[in-house]
Parts: sequence; structure tokens; C-alpha cells
Amino acid sequence: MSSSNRTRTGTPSIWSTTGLRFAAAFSLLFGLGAVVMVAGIDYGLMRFAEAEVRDGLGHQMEVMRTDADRHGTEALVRELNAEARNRDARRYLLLVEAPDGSTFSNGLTRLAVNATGFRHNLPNKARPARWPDQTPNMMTLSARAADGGLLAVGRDIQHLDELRGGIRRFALWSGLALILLALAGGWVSGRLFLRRLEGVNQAVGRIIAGQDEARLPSVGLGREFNQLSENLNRMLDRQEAALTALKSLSEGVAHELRAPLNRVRNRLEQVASHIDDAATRDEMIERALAETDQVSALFEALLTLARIESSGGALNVAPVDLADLAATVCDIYRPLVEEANGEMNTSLTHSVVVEADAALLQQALANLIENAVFHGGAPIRISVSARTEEGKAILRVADQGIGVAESEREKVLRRFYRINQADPAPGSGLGLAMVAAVVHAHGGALHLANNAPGLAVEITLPRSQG
Amino acid sequence: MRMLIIDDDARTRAFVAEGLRQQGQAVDEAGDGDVGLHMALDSDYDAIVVDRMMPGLSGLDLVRSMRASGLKTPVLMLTALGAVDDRVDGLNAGADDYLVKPFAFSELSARIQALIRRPPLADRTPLHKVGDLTVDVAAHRATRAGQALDLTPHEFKLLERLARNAGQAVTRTMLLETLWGFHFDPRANLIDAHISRLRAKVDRGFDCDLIQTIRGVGYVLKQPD
Repeated sequence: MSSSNRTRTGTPSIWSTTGLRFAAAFSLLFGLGAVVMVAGIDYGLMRFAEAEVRDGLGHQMEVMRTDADRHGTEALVRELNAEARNRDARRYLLLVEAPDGSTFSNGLTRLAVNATGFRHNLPNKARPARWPDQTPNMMTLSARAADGGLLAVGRDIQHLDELRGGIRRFALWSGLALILLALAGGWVSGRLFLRRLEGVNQAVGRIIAGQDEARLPSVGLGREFNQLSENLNRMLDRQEAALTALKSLSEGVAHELRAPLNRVRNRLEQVASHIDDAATRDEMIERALAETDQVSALFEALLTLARIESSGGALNVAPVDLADLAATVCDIYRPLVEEANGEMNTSLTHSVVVEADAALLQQALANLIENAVFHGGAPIRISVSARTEEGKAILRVADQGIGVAESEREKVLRRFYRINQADPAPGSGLGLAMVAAVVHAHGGALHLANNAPGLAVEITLPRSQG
Repeated sequence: MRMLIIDDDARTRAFVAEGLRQQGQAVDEAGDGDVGLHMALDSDYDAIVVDRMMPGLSGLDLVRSMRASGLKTPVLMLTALGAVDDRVDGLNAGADDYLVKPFAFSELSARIQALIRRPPLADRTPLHKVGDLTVDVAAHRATRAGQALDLTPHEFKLLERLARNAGQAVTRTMLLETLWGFHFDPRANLIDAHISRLRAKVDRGFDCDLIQTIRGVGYVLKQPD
């Protein structure tokens, strides 16, 4: 555990971030896709262009052959030679060799043509010097005329190669640009993400270092990430509240224990110094025992309270008639109240059934009645009632004592809180805290009000459906 | 009377055993559940005190095994767990009573006495007599010296509880638990208030007080010596 005690808050290398790795993988895929797409375009385009060239050559060949077959190749040669002066900017290169040895050529040589059929002359960098003006990259078509003369037509297809080169250059540069863009995007978002995470990590580090109030910054970058940090913060809030409660509880317990322990000690010292005085000795021993009983009761109450609060709904729930339960508890306390010349009035005639843990409700009600007995002034006047209102069950315990000031009503529900620290009334200071816990565990509400004069405590519970 | 104490905590065991021996009981001790179960099955005890939480065989399992073997010896279970659920678990396992640590020895002693004296269910007499007091459980009626006592239901229950253990101390905690199911310690001296009312009806105007206070322990119903 010693090494995992601290979070690592150092920035990890950008190259190792998930964002960048994703970016790299995506750009690679992108690049591959671009290559395939460009290759497809290239292939289709070249086929189309080549077919067009072949068509053109074939058409030209048809014209020449028709002429040669009708008038003879020599006539064609003569005609071409006569035309050559006017048509020097020809699109097609021609070579015609008549059987009598006369020829016409406007740049096409014998070397560039097959005996018959198409020929694709590839560009040759080591071009022979004797073809100084021969277009290196051309498609030729040759055929024989009826009289045996050679007919050849060729076309410069350098433009096709240039087109192809252009496509390839475009593919290369745009592919590179795409990859770079994807990488840059990945790097930037990775950085951004890392910086946010680093903030979160540093906040966690602060919390581990003991700054309980520190909270995680918003991660940003999207709703889900923000929800994560919000939820974590909510968890931290809860834990801090629980921790604060625990701290104040342990302080309270320590404080509550010190006083009775000190009194036990004092009594025992008195026993030691009155060891021969049987009456004093016995009285001191009895008082010391009573003090230890008080400590036991305190722990018992704390344990019960902790159990109720952590029960998470694990109560022994059964249908309970609040009016019945209250009538019994009131009967149990009535002799005590009447002994002190007090009065206990009940209004518990109509049955008020709730789904509840009877033992816990009994204890909660007993706590409220005891509070009224000990803090309800003199003479004690307690009224207890149970009623149904708007589908809810309401149990009310009221006295006519000095009441609880509005500002104190929240505080008296805390453990060990006493309005008057010098109040000699017995008790652990847990009574109302336990009532609040019981009511809370039942999904009810606890309300303290002014009884004018006195205090009225109302427990509201959801009504039983059955 | 012969008792068996089964508890892994040597100090609690010694404290309980010592106290019972001072009362003149014969006490055997066992430091864990397995040994305790053997001893309980091998010898004839009048009562067994068993701790709920022990390494190895727990108190709950021990009592279950005992009951499964047909042993009906009364069992008082000791525990540091005081919630109602735990009590119910203990009683369901077959324990007869349940006492939460820390406890006063007088409380333990009174409870053991009550267990030993508890007659088997079938023999339970519905009529208790203490001196000139008669408590008729079936008829829900109490008379003293032939005079009917006008008791509230709560008062009758209290008197009946005392009468059932006539001559034996009944502690306030026992009364709180058995009369009203209060498994918590009220701040007020509830029982005392009820007893003083009961006394006003049972003892006032008669020649002797049958309800007597035992300081630091509780009450006992008996004919004064």
C-alpha cells in the first residue's frame, strides 16, 4: 500500500496517449483508403483514356485504309505528301510505305510500329540518339493495305502520362496532408485531454494529501466526461459529510465519556478514603456503578443509532397501529408523569396503521415522551395524538415547557447536542438524534414546532397501503 | 445446582464463575464452543451460560446442536450485540434468555434463577400464591386476604411476573423486556413508578409488605421473614 498511497500526477508522454494512438491508427487507415481510391480512379481513368486513343487510331486507320484500298498505297502517299505542307500541325502521326518504295511520314518511324496491330511505345529514358524528335510515349496502330503497303498511325499519349502523374502527385500530397492533419488533431486533442486529466489527477492528489474539501475540476470535452467528474464530486461530498459526522461523533463520544469516567474515578477515590465508613462507602460504590451503567447505556444507544442509520431499509417492517402503540407507551409512562403531578392527555381513538418497525417506533416515542418529562417544564403536561391527514400518518407529542427556539430546532437533532449544557436532566444526548434516525429510516419526516407554549414534535409517516 | 459457563473470554468466564460459586453453585467452565458442547452433552447441568461470539463453534451453533440432540437445559446467551434482530436470532436458535454485555452480575444471577425455576410449559400453574396473596392468571384476578385487588391490566401483568418468580429477584431490565418489550434503557425510573402504584394496591393497608426492593438489583415478591 505504501507506494500506491500517492497518485502519479506527472504528465505521461504525448506519444503514449490514447488520443494520439487513435489518431495515428485513423490516419493510417485514411491514407490506405486514399491510396486505394486514387488507384481506382487512376485505373479507370487510364482505361477510359486509352480506349479513346485506340478508337481514334482505329478511326484514322479506317480512313487511310479505305483510301489505300481504293486508289492504292502509292496514290495515298502522293496525296499525303501533297497535303503535308498544309497540314503540318496534325494530331496524328502517320507512316505509309507503298510497295514501290515511296513513303510518307510526318514523324513516325518504322521503329515505333509493329507489323500489324497496336503498339504502346513506353518512354525510354535511354532514348536512342537517332530519334531526336520522336515522341517517346505514344500508341501506334499499323495495318497492311490490300496492295501490301504499310499503313501506320500513331498518337502521342504523353498527356495521359502527365494526367496520371498529376493524379498520383495529388494523391500523394493530399494523402500526406490528411495524415498530418489527423496526427495533429490527435496530438492536440490528446494534449487537451491529458491536460484535463492532469488537473483531475492533481485534485485527487490534493484530496489524498488531506485536503478533504478539494474537488475535481470539470474534465470538459463532453457531457459524459463532465458527468463523471460531477458524480465523483458528489461521491466525495457524501464521503466528506460522513467523515465530518464521524469526526464530530468521535469527539462527542470522547467528551461524553470523559465526564462519567471522571465521576467513577472520583467515587472510587472516595470509596478508598472511606473504606471504614460502611454507609458512605456503599453509597459511593452504588453511585460509581450507576455511572458505569450510564456509560453502557450511552454505547448501547450509539450502537442502536448506528444500526438504524446503516440499516438501509433493513427494518423489521410489519403493519403497526400507531394509535395502539402510542396508547401502550403512554400507559407505561403515565404513572411516572402522574407521580410528578403531571398530566398526560391522549387522543388515540382511531386506528392509524403504518408499515413500520414497531420496536423502533416504540423507542422513538418513548424518547419523545421522556424529553417532554425532563424538559417539558413543571407541571408536566404532555399530549400525544395520532391521526391521518392527506394519506399520511401523523404522531404528535407536545408539552407545555419552554420549547425550543427556532434557531435550535435543527441542532437539537444532532448527537450529543444540548441546548443547556448545565441541564441536570439525565440522558445520553442521543434521544432526538435517534428519533430523527428512526423517522428517516421509515421514509418519514420529523417536524419540530412551537406549541405556544412548549414544543410539539410531529412524526409524519407514509400511510400503509394495505 | 450445577452450571456450565462457555465463553472464550477468560475474564468474563472467571467473573461469572466466581460470582456463581460464591452463591454456592457448582460451576464448570469451557473456553470454546466445541469443548463446551461436549461438556453440555456429557453431563447434567441445571443451566448453561454461553457466549454468542466464539472462534470455532459459535454460541448460536452450539445451542442449535444442543437442541438438536434433544437437550432441554435452560440456556442464557451472552452477547455484545444488543439489537433486537440479534436477540431474535439467539432465541430462535434455542436460547431461553439473552443478556447483553456489559451486564451486572446481579442481572445475570436473577436471570439464571428465573430460568432454572421456569417450569416446563405444561406444568405452568395458572395460580400463584405468596403469603395471603393469590394471583389467578387464568381468571385475570388477584386477591389478598380474600379481598379482590382492583388492578389495571399493566399492573396485573407486573404482579403476575413477580408472582411467577416469587422468592426470586426480578430485575428492572427483565421487567422492561418481558412486560413491554423495551429493549432499551429508559432514562426514567419507569419500573419504580409502576411498582409504587402496585404497592399502593397490594401492600397498603395490609399487615406486611410482599413487594420488596432489593437494592441495586430489582424487586422480589415474597412473604417477609
